[in-house]
Amino acid sequence: MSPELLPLYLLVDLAGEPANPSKQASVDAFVQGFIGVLKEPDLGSRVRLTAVGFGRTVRRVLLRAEPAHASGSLPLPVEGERAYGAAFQKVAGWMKEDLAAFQADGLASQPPLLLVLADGPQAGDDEWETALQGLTAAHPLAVVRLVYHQGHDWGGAPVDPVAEARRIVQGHAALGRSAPRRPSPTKQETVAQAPQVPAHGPARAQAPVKAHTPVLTKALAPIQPQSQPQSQSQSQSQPQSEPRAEVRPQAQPPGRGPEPDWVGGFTPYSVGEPGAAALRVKPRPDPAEWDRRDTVLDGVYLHDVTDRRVLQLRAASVRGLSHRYNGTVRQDDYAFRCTDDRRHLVAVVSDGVSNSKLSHKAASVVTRLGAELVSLALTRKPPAEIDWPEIVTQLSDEIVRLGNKLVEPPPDGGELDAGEIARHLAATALFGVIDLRPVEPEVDAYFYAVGDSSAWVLRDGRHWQPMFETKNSGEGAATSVTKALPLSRPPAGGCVTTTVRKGDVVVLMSDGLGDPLEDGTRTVGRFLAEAWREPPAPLQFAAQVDFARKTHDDDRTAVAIWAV
Amino acid sequence: MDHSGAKLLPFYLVVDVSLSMQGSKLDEANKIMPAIVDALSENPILSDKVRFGLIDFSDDAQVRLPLCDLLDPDLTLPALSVRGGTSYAAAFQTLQREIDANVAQLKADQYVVHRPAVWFISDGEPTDQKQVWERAFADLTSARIYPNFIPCGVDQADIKVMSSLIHPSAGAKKMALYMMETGHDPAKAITGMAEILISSMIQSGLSLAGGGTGTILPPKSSLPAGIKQYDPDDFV
Repeated sequence: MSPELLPLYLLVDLAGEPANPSKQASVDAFVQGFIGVLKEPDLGSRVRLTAVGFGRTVRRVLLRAEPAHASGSLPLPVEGERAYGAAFQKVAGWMKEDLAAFQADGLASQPPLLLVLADGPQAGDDEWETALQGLTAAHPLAVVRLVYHQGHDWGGAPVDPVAEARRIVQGHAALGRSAPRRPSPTKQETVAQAPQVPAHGPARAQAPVKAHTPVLTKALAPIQPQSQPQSQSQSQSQPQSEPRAEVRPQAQPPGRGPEPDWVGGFTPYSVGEPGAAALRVKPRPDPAEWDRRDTVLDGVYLHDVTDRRVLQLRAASVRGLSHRYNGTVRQDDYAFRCTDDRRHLVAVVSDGVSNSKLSHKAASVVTRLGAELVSLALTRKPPAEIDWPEIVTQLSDEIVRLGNKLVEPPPDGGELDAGEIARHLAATALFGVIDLRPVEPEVDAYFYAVGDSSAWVLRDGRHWQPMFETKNSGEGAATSVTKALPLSRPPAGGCVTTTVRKGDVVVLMSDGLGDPLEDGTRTVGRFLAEAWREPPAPLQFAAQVDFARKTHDDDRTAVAIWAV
Repeated sequence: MDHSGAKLLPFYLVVDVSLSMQGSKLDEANKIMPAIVDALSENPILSDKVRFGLIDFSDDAQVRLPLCDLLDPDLTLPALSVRGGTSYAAAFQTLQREIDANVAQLKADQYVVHRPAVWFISDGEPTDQKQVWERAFADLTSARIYPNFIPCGVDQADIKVMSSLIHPSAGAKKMALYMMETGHDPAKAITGMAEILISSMIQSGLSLAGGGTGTILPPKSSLPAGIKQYDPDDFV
């Protein structure tokens, strides 16, 4: 299912003297910080931001903008008096236009979220209440009030408005694909510092206000759609002493029970343009292979011989959109294991060559038997002395043996050789060996590869360092010819060695991930660097491996290892 | 929106619009692009990657549709009409210019561009001098970004001439020639060529998804009636 767009409206109170540098600075800082937050991949792909300033006039300074393209500095000059009523009225009209525009483009959107950044109450003659009711009656939306700290000194404020705004937007975005409901209080409530005096009064130390809820807080907090008198009376009966802003998705079906006791949500990852495939492919199973899973994943700690936690591992192998569309199996695979003496971790990634129908079986041999053979070899000699060509030969022999069982024999009744078997089942091989007994503060890592699966070290959570040469970096037309097992003659050459420090991440991956990663310096590189700076939850890791990006529809596999 | 590293598969359809194409042959040729659009809109895996360009040629060659995404909602498909003679040289030169410019632009835009496939449909012999079009073809196929060239001959097309246009004509990635069988309806043969083109496009896109090699031609067993496939080895 494609992610719904989240129409986000940021309404910024610009009331004040034009020469009020303190407020101007805090408005600018908030906007910059907030737009920075929206550029995060999980939000950036979904949010369409309309930014509105209201002071002397009510003016849109951003219209349905994709955050990735939005500048962090917007023309929002502090000037004039605030008029909430006029602002709400305008926003109501714009929302209507915007929702129609999304619909016309065939884009699904969730209810809009209106964030109000304000630092003062409304004037007595401001007809905000009717306007807000008009707004909430016309659109199922959530209204959140953020108040910046009196005097705009966020350093000392108990709540950082940017962090608050981020939490609110993320919480709201997470609701995107479920029925609109009132989210759990722990996720949603916004503790806000209430302005007690009109904006830009003399700067003074300000204690959190407990006693009187300012008019605006009261106004924004309890308004319910007129169709729900019951919930209105509930909210009115709540104590009003805590000045809190509210997130209130308004389109609850009547008769719905109390708030659910659960939280959570899921937004698929998308990096840059997701492409038609990500939006439209309806996955099919492979009728020839019911027991081959679409996605497999792991998340574990690994312990050394003294039972000390040394490494953390995340792994996921995810069927590509192309295989999902065509109803064929995932041909990638991975395996990992520690040696019996708990000296080393062995990780293997293999990518079945797609032109050969049985290649996923070759990938299984390479990963499982490969991990076993390497572990066995490590009981006899150190990683640097492993005879890799010998391991490749053993794996090739096993694939040929398996192939001769699966593939129809030649007419003369003989055995098929490696070259002939490779037409039916073939797979790349990438091995990583990591020392579980670190020489503080470094860990030694060893890599060996046949074919285009690639090993990387994410240094300091920032820079992707390839362990092997990356492909398609040169001139000419791109090619995708890949070396794979079985090979009748294994390639000469040994392994690559590196040292890994705390804060680095070792990642083994198939080309389904390696191709969009490019040289690690572009969008996907930045996305994964940020996502994997720390080990994510295992399911989240798999979802990140499965990110949507136009034309990248191959199977993807990643095994990532962090030093604890 | 960011798309760096996106994989593209460029196709060029090059159609003979000499006077002899007038009538049902041209009508069928005009149905090729809409059929491709239909195939693409059914297959999102393919439509994300495929780019198509249309060139017609007679005494001169014209780019009727610059290499583009055929599902672009603002796109209008051009209608072909006949003009005059049959200059293969003009077709090859225009094609080479387009491929060079398109690939350079796409690469500058950070796409990963796979080798273009050219489907060349002609119903007769070239009217320009042999050494001139041969020279132009040699230039096209010896360029760094040479295309996979798949000639399709109908009606009066000369099998000797057409077979010399298969490129590459050797090696693991050799292409093939599609010829109308003698006595078959030429207009129907053009429809058949379009079916082969679309089948190849789908299989190439599929193969690309898993690290395949670019242009895949459909198996001989699946050819439409009235069309014969020749491999380069069939000619000595």
